[in-house]
Amino acid sequence: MSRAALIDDLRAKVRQLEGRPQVASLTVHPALAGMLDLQVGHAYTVDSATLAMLVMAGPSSHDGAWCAVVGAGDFGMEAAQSFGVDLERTVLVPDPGEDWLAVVAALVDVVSVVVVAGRDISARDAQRMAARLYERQSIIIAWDGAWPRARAHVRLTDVVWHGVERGSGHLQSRQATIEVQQVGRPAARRRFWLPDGDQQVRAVEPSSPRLRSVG
Amino acid sequence: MARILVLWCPDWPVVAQLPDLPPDTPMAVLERDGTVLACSPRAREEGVRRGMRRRDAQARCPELVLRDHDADADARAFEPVLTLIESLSPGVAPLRPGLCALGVPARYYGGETEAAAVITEQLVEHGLWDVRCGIADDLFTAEQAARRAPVQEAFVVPAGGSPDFVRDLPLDVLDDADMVDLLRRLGLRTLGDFARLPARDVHTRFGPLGAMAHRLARGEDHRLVARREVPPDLVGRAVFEPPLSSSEAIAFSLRTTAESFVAALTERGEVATAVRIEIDADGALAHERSWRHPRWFSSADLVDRVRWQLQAPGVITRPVDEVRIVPEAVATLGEHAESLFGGGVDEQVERGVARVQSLVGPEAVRSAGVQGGRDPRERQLTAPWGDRPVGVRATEAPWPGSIPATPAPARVLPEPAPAQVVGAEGQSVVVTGRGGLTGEPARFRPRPDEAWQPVAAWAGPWPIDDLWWDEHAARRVARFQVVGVDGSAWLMCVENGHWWTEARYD
Repeated sequence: MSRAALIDDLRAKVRQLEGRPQVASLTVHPALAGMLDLQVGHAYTVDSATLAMLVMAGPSSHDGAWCAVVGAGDFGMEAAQSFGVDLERTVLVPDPGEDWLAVVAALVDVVSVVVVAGRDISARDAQRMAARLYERQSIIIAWDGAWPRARAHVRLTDVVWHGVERGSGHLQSRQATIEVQQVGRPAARRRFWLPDGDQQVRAVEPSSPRLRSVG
Repeated sequence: MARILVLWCPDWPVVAQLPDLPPDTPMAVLERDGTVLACSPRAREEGVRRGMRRRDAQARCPELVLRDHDADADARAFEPVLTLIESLSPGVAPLRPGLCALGVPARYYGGETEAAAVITEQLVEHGLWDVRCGIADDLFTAEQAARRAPVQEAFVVPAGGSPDFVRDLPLDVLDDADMVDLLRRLGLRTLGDFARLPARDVHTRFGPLGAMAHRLARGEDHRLVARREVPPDLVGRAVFEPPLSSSEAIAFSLRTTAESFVAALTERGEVATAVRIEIDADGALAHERSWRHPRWFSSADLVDRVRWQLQAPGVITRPVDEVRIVPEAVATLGEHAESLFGGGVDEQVERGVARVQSLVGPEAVRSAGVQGGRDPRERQLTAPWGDRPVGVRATEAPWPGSIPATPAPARVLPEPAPAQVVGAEGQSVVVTGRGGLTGEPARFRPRPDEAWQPVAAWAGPWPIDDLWWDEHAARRVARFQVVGVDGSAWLMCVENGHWWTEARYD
């Protein structure tokens, strides 16, 4: 048994003795399966709205989870819906004001996924929030903000748009690399259609050598 | 056949505002566009007429008292009148403030004229001086009869006499300016002339509305009088003696009232889904507002709503002496049984969100949705949490001028941000009157706080003449999609030579 697995095992035993809830995970979007797991009680950072929606979409559409989006006045609802976020169970607080931390804390009590946009949190507050997240079995997605001790950082890189030229066409699809840096794991990278021409999110098939880009 | 009595109080918008003025004051109530909506008899004597501009009205009658029209106040002032009539005869249908209909309680009062006299007398005692009644077989004829009745009297159209009575009325009573105008140009002057046209031809030419008007003109109005549902006397009242001025103190003392309000409804097997909260200060109504609940109001919800309403700026200016909770919409428990037996997680969410609302204000927590529209911002649908979103446009309808099938932008700016787009030589790029571009975009800055970057690709312009049929609201806009070399993609628009960023394909 590896050292990490042993520690996990021991932790589980301790939790059982303490009578605290077992560590549960929320469902991730099928596209991200294997790259990221959403263990409750943790924060995850993302660097783009699309990623925030993609991470939200898993719990929202598969677990029937309630989601809240705090601090994003420009949250594109149609895009969220296209990624699979259930808007009926989504609460928006576009402008939480000065006391945004209290708002996030109150939301963590009742919804499973809280997206916090454009806010940095101090290490001390992050730790207090982590305890609350664990208690309430929820996760936080920090979009465009620093979150110390986040469990994973998800980034979007090498974005290429298709369908638009100089003056003609229109945006149809995009390819981008999603990079997941999860604590204690090597960074995972995969190329995705985000979305493809049929508005679906899927991994890019490894291209045949004939079509490989040499640029 | 049931006979119908229509009761009319002329110039209701004026009457509704008069109580605090002597009755012979020359007064006019103005529409929002500044024209006279209604005036008092004294003002009419001076030559003030409906539809007149404010300045003309003042020129005819310099001492004229002017008030703005307040539709809510009209309805509110009519409420006691309805209650009074209800105490004499149940089943009153309010048609609009100042006008209501009821079945004639002839048998009880010993005749139609007598019944009208009893009701009129009661209203005069209540302080209404100008009350007129019309009695006929159908609603339309009864209303027209009321308009021809002298003050405090009834005009009775005998049974079966409707066609004869309406025959000589001018076409204007139809209240459809376009159709009346057309009929006049066809050489018709009275409802009788109109009634003589074959019903089938009228339907072919004027459609269902015309057919409806034709039925009215023939004296065959089959509309039924929709009775007002007598509101159960379930208003929750809390009287504060001495008056209170702190919202927390008021909310605290309101707890038992809210509890008994909910309990009284539950006893009847009902729950409230919408309530109106009325706040009195100095013995007069100071503020009122309607609240809806996505499910139904518990007593804690009611206390929350009262607190939010009180905390809104400008609501408590004087100490509050009474708060009333009036049920506006109730539903039977059966429809909500599931949630009563512990709806589980959703109920918890509802409570938690209410707590957030008390932190940041009720309007700051919003629901999300998608509706139809041409640009991404129009397609965002949001409403304060708990309210039902209004003005929903169908998503499926064709939206001419919308940008072609494209992934929806993940970020939609609530307000467009000023952007800059320049050509290779730094000259600004704009759209010509013919929908072409003055140059090729080379560099751009999507927002003032972003850096300049070269344009990697762009598409457009897609010209949009928004609201072209409305001269004042019309705007000529052309949309573009711009992709920067860093892979960011933006939706921009040009209006009058200025670039704006509307959304980002983040």
